[in-house]
Amino acid sequence: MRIEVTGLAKEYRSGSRVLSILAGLDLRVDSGESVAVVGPSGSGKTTLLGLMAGLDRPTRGEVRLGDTPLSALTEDARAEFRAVHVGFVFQTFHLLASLTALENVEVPLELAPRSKRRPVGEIRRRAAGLLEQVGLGDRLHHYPAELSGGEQQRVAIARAFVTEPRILFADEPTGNLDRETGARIVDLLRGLNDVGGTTMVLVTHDEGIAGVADRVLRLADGELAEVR
Amino acid sequence: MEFPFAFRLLVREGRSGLRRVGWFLVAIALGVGALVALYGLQRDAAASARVEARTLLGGDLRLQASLPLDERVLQVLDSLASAGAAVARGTSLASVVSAPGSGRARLLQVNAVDEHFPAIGSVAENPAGAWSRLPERGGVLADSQVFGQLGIALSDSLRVGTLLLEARGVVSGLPVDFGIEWVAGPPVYISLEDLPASGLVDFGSLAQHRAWVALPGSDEAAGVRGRYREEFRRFGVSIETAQREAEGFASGLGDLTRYLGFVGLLALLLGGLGVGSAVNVYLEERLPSMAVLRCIGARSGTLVRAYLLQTAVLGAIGAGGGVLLGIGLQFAAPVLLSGVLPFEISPALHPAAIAIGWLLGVWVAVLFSLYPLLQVRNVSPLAALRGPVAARRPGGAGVVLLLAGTLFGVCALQLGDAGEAAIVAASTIGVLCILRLAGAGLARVSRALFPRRAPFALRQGIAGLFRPGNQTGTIVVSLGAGTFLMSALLVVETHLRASVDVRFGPDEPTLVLFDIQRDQAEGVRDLLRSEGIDDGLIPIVPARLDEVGGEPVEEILARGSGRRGRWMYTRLYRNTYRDEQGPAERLTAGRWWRGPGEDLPSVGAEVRKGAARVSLEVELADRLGVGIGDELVWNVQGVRVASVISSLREVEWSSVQPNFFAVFEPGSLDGAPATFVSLSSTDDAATRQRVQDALLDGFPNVSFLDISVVQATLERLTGQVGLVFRSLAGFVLAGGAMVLFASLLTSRFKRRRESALLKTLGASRRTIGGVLLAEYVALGAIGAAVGLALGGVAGDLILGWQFDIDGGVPWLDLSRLWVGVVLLSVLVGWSVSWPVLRAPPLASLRREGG
Repeated sequence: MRIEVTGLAKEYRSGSRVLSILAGLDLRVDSGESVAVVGPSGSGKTTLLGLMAGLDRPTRGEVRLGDTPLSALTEDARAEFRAVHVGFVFQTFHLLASLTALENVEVPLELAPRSKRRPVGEIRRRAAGLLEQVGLGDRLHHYPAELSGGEQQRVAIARAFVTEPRILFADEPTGNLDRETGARIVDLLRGLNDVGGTTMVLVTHDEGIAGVADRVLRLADGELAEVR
Repeated sequence: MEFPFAFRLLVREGRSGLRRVGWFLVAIALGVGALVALYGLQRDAAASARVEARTLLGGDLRLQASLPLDERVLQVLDSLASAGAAVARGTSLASVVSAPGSGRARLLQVNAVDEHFPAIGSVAENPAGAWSRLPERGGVLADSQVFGQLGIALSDSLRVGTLLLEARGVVSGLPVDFGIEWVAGPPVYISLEDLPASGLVDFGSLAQHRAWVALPGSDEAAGVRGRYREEFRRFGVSIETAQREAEGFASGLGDLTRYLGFVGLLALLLGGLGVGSAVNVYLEERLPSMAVLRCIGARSGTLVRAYLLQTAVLGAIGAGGGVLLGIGLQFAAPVLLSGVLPFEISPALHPAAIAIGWLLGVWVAVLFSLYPLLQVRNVSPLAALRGPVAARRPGGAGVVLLLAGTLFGVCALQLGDAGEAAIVAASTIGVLCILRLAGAGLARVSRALFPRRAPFALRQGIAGLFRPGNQTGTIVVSLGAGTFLMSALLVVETHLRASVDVRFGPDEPTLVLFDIQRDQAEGVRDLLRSEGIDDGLIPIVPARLDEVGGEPVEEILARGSGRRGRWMYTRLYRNTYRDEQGPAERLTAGRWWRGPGEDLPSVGAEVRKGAARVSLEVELADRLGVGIGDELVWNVQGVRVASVISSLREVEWSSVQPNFFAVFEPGSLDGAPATFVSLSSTDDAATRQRVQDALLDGFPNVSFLDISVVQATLERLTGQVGLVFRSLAGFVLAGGAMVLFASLLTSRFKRRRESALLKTLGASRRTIGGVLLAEYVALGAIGAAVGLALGGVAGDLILGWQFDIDGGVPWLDLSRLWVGVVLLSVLVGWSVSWPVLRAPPLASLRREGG
């Protein structure tokens, strides 16, 4: 599924001041392509990612995922769209602390619209299979607090891919991990991306990790520039 | 509706253990428990009263008069009897009964009854057949306590008045005269035919003449009462039905009932506050999970439904626990109340009370969860993910209206009066608004007066009061509201307990003699003088009101006396005349007969010719609608005595003094038929015994009361009532402390992560403790102070409004409560830092999601 961003702007108001984070960006990511967005901290990378995923509303401009313009969708419709088509990996993992690894991976399937919901047994098999794939077959029933940072991020990746999303957004997926573990996570992401033909947008400040993407863009002063 | 998902989420989150939901469940259980217990108790009392009223009353109807029943009344009773009714007659009075064998004497309740008594029910007797021999005369039957108190056995002799009677058996289960029983001892029964010979019933004695009627159909009672009430009133006969008696028991336990209602309302409001705080804490903890769920595709409706379902299910479980707690308390209450109420309470399960308590618990849980849920509903998932500060949006006006409506409903349910409920609900909302303003004021003032040069811990603690995401408003409101309710209760409880607390000073009388006839006055005086004790006799002149302010009483009653009652127009007054004001009296208007040093002016010198001057008790004057200069005409044994009100007095009725509604000036009632009472003071028990022995010999009709015995009885009774007040207050205060603790815990999760970070950055335990101490002391001090001030004033107003007590705020007691609340705040601050302080920094950070 391709991503089209046109004239995307995001401004925050602080008292009488207007702070411009993104100043009218244009971007196109083709279906199955992987793109890395690099830039210094505070450059607006996470904001861009959030807007592309429909997690927030832009001040101006439009984001289209496939043929769907996000601005035409209500908050709930965007949530449903994410549940079906979008996967998300966060820097700080954001696993649900009261759920086991297996249950965390099951949740997106359980949230799918009724028409696309799978039977409980299949949900469980698929979640367990994905955890097996990311090397956590023996940690299915462990809570997040009982897992290391790398393991938690692998659970988050399994959760992101469990719905077979057409698009994956990853926000500093290795930011909380050491280099070696980070490299393994990126390999994992890339592998899943290749196997499923998923469109991937990866935000990072680590140029080395960005190198695994098909294309690298730099975000600075609210504007995007092609690096490679 | 994604209920399967909502259920799964509930099960998964619930599985993480009671630790997460414990406070939530406890807060709900306490609120619901208090409600179910108090409702159940009220209904038990009403139901028990209904069942027992007929037995207690002794029939469907009871006629009662302080003079022998008139011929016309007896004719009516005969006609009822010939129509199939069972009619019994009797006379009750308090009199000293002595046992010549053992030499002991006691003031007892003497009941002289005819062969038809009791009109209903059966008598428990030992030996069998003893009761049926009562009409044979010459015998006495008594409660088992009498045998013990007087040291007698069957067939021993008892002196009742001038008669020497044989003790023929032990009886129980008969209608009880509470009025006499609470002052005098247990009952003895003699034949009505023996009564005249006993010499106990003379003019002015405190005997009550009664008839009991058991009708063929119980539902006829109200009709019979309606038919004869007005006519009988003219003969000084009141007529009561079992139904009215039951209603009186259920609703007429005076201060105790109102206090129960007040405590019930407080329990409800505190319970509601507790549930609300608990929901707040519970959902606050779950905000990050909600944000993540929304990012990975959960619709806001799904989340709202899922968490509503969670709070509803947990509310249902907590309320279920509360129902069990309430039932336990309800069944324990009769033990606590035993001896306080005039009948046994049989606890029963009341489905309505249980259902109301349970439903209210669930409803409040759901209602309070709506507000935080609606706040996060429309926030973008990214903002929600970035933290609860960004995830809040004002709104939910509908929820606020629902809350106000629920508050009104709860008040109406408890008070049973829409007007009063509206006042209480509006006042409570007003208090919440003031507390909200106080919270905002604290944040503003702490920012304006921020101590930039203060030590780090103090600066950091005070900054916590106004920096983004502060909890100042929320905590000041919940802490203040809890303190408000607790302090209002404390004010009411303190004054109520003081009002039932009877104290006996060293100068109080210890021996009371009454029913002294005019021709015995001199002899009794000599007897007392010979024992070297006070010999002052106080005259008692029984009288009824004939005219008030120039209008005949019958006309006043005929046009309806309004909502202030009729008793003051129909009762038999026991008036007196004397020269001086009594020690328990204070003049509020007019002047006494003479000032200090003045001579006694001649009778009626200042007033209309032929009218005596009278000093009236101020509340009676208010009820009668009369004042200084108004005329009252009294009927003293058929003789009309005109009087003019020359002063009004406030009387301290609880003092052990002879207190009177109307005091005449000396000389004005000289010729009127009167009896005398004597109150004398002697510490020596032997002297008291000698006086009693001499009275038994020389003046057998004169009753005496050894106050030391009455004192013990009164202390027992008032002690029990005081215990009820205190226990219920303790229950509410304990619940209040839990609620405050739960509401303070809201902030626990906010500050814990900061404490972990500070520790990582090198802050010592002492510094972290200091930061939390500064913030929590400020929050506790301000919230509690505002709540206390408002609660003190509210309690004082409630005392006047509901209990007719001129209170005053016990600021010293309230200041103790203030210290308690501040300490509680510090305790919570300490509990916040404890897990962080005791663990290594890395472990703290990992646990707090750093």
